[in-house]
Amino acid sequence: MSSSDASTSPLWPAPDPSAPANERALLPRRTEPGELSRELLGKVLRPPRWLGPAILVTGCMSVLLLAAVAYTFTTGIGVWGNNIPVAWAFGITNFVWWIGIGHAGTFISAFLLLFEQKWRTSINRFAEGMTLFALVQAGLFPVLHMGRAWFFYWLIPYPSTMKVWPQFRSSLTWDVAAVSTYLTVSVLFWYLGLIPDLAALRDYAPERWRRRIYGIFALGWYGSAAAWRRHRITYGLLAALAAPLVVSVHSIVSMDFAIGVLPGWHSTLFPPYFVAGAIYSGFAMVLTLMIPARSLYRLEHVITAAHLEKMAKMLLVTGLIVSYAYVVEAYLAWVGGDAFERHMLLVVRPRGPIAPLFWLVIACNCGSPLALCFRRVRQSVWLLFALSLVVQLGMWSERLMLIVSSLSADFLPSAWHGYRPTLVDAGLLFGTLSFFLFLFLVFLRFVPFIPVSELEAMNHELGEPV
Amino acid sequence: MKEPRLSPLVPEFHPGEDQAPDEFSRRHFLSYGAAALALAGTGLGACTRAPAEKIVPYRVAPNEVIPGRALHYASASTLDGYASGILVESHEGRPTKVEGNPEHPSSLGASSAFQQAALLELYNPLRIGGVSRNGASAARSALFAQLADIANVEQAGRGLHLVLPAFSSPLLADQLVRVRERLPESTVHFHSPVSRSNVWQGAERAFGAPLETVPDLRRADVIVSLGADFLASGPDQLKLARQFADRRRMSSKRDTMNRLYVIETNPSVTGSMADHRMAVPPSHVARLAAALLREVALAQSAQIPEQVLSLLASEPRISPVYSRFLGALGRDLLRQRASAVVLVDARQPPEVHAAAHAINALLGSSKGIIGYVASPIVGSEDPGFGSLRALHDALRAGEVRSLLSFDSDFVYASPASFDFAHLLGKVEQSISFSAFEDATARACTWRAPAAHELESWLDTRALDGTTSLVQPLIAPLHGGLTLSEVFSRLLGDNRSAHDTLRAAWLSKNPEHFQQFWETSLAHGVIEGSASTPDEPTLRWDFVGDLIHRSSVPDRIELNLELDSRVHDGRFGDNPWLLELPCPVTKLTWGNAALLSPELAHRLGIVDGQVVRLEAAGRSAQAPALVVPGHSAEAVTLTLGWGREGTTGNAPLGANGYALLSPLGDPPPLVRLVPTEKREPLAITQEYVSLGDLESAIFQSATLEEYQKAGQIGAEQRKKQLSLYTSDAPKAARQWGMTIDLNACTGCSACVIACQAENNVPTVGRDGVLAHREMHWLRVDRYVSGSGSATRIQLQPMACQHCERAPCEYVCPTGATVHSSDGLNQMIYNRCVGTRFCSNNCPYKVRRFNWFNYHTSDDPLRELARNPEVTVRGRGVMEKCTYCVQRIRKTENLARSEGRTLVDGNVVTACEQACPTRAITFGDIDDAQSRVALARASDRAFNVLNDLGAAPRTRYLAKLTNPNPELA
Repeated sequence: MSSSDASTSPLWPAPDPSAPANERALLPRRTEPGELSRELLGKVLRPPRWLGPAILVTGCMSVLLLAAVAYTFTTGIGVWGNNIPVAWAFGITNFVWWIGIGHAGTFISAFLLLFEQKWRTSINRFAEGMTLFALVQAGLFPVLHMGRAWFFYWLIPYPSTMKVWPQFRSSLTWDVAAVSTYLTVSVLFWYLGLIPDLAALRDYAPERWRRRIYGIFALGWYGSAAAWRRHRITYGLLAALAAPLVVSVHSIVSMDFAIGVLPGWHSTLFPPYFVAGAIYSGFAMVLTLMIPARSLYRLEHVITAAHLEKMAKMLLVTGLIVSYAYVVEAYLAWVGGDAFERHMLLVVRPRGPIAPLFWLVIACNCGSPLALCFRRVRQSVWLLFALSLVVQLGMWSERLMLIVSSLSADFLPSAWHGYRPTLVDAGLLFGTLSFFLFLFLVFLRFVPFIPVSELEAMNHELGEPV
Repeated sequence: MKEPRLSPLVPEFHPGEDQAPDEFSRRHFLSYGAAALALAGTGLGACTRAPAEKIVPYRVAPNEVIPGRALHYASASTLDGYASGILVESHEGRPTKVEGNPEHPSSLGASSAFQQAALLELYNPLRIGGVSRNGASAARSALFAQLADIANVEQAGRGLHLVLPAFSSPLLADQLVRVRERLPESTVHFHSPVSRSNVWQGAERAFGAPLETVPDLRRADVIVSLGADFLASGPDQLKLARQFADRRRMSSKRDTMNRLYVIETNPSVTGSMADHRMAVPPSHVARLAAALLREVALAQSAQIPEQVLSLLASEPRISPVYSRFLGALGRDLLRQRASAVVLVDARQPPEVHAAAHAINALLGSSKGIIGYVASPIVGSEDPGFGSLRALHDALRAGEVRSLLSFDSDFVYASPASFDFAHLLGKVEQSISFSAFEDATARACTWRAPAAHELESWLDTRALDGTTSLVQPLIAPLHGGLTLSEVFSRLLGDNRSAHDTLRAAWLSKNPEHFQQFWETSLAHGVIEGSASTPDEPTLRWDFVGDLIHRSSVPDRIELNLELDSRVHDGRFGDNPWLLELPCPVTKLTWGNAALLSPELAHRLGIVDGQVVRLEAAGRSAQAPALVVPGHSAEAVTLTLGWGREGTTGNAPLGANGYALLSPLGDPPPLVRLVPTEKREPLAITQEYVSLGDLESAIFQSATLEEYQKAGQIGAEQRKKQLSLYTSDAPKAARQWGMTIDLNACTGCSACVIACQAENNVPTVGRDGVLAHREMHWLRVDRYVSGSGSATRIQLQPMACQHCERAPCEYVCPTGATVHSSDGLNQMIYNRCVGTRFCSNNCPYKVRRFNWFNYHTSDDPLRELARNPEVTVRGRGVMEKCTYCVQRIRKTENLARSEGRTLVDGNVVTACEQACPTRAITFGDIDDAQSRVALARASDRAFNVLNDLGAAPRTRYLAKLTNPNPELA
């Protein structure tokens, strides 16, 4: 690419015949312009036969969530397994886990865009959708876990007639700001990227009513160069805005624990440690969703083995960062000399009643990603799928282990007590999983889940078919 | 200087109220506007209307009643016949809180958990509502006719049996004499499941009269308890605990401290205070008493008849495990002589009591620090007191024509083999007066309500004979009768209890009667009514029986005890007491087979495993609970549980009466059969070991270490570094608390006092199993060591009101904030229930309303609530407030009366109830206040000091005073 060439814009690069082979591997089948669009848009307009029943089933399963939420609201938090001392458990675990999952989506769409990583192209829409739906699940829990959820708005700084404000020293107040910012930016970013594809759907859709609906959502996009230019600039700006959020949101979430005085929580290590863990679990979730979708929609030529391998490498790197954080955490406790901290990190977690969960976390989060050092593992689609599930289990368990272990054995042994979830707790977890899948399938049904225009552009950039 | 009244410099209104309530402000305009709109809406739009309720004001307002201001009345509460004075708080005619009466010698201002919980007993919705016959409701007149019929003079009471509780009332004693005169053929049985008959018989053996022992522990340097849990149970527990603690306050290291030896089976509250404790099976106590008597007697041989000495010398040697302990103990007693005292558990056989009397006499303490008074209990001279064998035999023989039982659930609380439920079926007329529909009420043909003590006119006596008048705080809620009214009916007298009582005292004090009556009622004690101490002479003829009492060889013994929460079962319907953790095991809502870790290990029994206890053909099943410090050769089961519920619910716990021997003989051997069944135990505290966290949480030292070092917790005296400076406004008074662990026995009276004062709900067994108990104040138990060296440390724990409170900065809505006078406040209205504050509380003293605990309350039970404390709804956090309602009330009162608060004006509920005055509350900025002095003590320490939260509640380290010979 030559920057002196006046006829090309950095936002819309000309075909580059010298593109390296590894980039070519991301789109192995060169096609004529428009062919790829027709194929990918066709998958939305003519959905596979399994999709309808799948939406129905997950929709029905989501009723479980509704039931669990209704029961909690009408009866009280007492229907959960929480107690004193373990006043937070499944609810906050789910919150942290779901919000962490979202991070990979933003990481892929924003960070990788800024670093001009071409492999993000095929998967970013997917990942962004995942982020949104994960955020929807995550957003439920902070409200739900409150004793008086109907007053949740007291956490929002609004000019109340009583002139009372939230208490700004509490990280829960920061949470509200962080998560709502994140949700806003994620929605905008996702929708902005979607506009050209919605316009394409409007143009391709056979029925008039569909054209109407897609037309409304396409906001009058007509694909002029000027529109593309503005689109690209806005997209880049939003990416620049979203990228720091990847770091800040989970840093703030981690402070829900780190600002506490509890042994095992009170640590400056938490922000980076939580961010790494979030991206780690998020990448695993992307793999979990993408691998079956890719195979069911026959998209192997768009989401290629090269994509999967890059994702696997990310998984390995973030996994190692998380493992490093575990080691540092334990080391700091040992070298710090605080009796309670030592007891937490060196006795309660590895040897206490919660030890099985601890070792499950170590096995899933530190052990299993090591298999990704081997190319053969990285290239085996179903091994990757299995690993992605293991990592998600590991990360969810890690959040639970972190929260419950510190709460259940903090300072005064007289107050120590374990935790046992109830059916309602389980219902909420599986309910959100179902609801997440439901939203995701609906997304697959109605929205171009592969960024068609970006792929067409890449197809163009990579040059003529070989 | 006297605070000026309404001076312009003194803010006239409370902070936050910026104008007089009468002025019409913008706020008022808006609120009236809104109210008008709302009224218009409800009146015109929606056709709903609040149900019409009649409010009946006082037609003629009593002079003393000012609505909103509580009145206090002196009365007395009686347990097992022994009285202790109380002051009852009354709001607009309904009693809301019980406190101890400072003028009563047996209370000294303190109160027990039972007394505190009496309130819930009064308002218990399960109480019998009216008279019924054979299950169908009947008229009171029919009952009175029936009473007149069985008291028919012509019959002379033939075939009439009365089952009465133990009582000390002079009025009742007098009435009973007259009933017996009128109905000479009738028989009276006193029912007392665990009677003090052995105490009286022991005194009979030693002194020839049923005397009570009244020691003055303030003057005792060495105290030996042979199984007696004198600090937390028994007739004089409040006074003894105060006197014991008075010798442990150690306001400086030059003070002296008493030394306590405890020989017991099951670790008790008293055992946890012991400097030396030995766990032995119950039957060994007699041998140890004999051996101790020999140790003392051989050194005092001049005072003892020759043959007694030779008898004692012939006593076989005790096991070497005991002899070192006893040798050292004996020498310690002989060193202290007249300032040493031996106390004995009431269940021990009479000879052991006699032995203790002999030891005290030999040491000289019987002439000094111990007073002996005639027992105030009516019928104490009867050797069979409390046992119902005679009644059983009469029932079996078919001699009982009619039976009248008053307030004694003897069908349940008697050896199960008596099978009274079945035998009562043969009785023509049986009348039961009881508070609840208990087993006796169910077995009788007539069921009638008995009046609660807070509804009664009566008189009653304390252990030392001090007589109090019992006055009602409220008219009987269910038309219950007092025993004096029942006696009156039997005597053909229709006067009310009040008139009878007044007439009885009028005859004794015809001069200045009105003055006497009013003074006695106002003070709660009748002046000069205490018995004059006896000076008995010792007889030695018990020694033969003592040394012939052989201990049981090497088997597991059964130890049946009264329960610290339900007593003999009478409080089995009281949720406050049911949910009160046992001071030592922390078990709630039930009992368990308590056994030592060694025995559990040997038999392969674990906590919660159901075991079958088999003794002489009787058996009972209970979940096992391992108790460190329990005797390895015994298993303990507390009585009073496993009642067929009056609620229709399944019985709670295991019924120890099923194992009780009908002969009342010494503890039977028991076989422990483990079963496969498991039953979860509702225990509030699982972890009991402090390990290397001890120095941060519970500081203790021996007296010698303390005197040598001069202080405890020196590392805490260093100034803590902090990045933060406080610019919070500081009020003139800074509230703070200290808890002296050296005085605190862990008896848990404060827990119930707090619950009663602050409307703390109960959560039930399931709630405790889920670890959601709501007690604002709990007593933590820590255990170290094993066997007889087991150390039990009890530590009351409530909100510490940290100056830099970890809970405050994490609350997103500012619902927990600091007041300018140092209180960590909870703003219920602002709480959304994130529970972050609880997570961040290092002491875990915050309590969360997981459900709407209060809505399920019965309207009757609502009357027990303190109107000065908010009732918290679902989803809100709560915790100790330092009784902020009492602080504000006292402050406001002082301000309106134009006086300045002085130390001791503000008393928290826990402090007020505390029998040992271990809790001190006050203004820490007032250098002369008790709390400031205690905080400056060289034993003061903060729990979790290194966190830098600067707690306002400070603890004073526990000291032990071990015998150097046994160290």
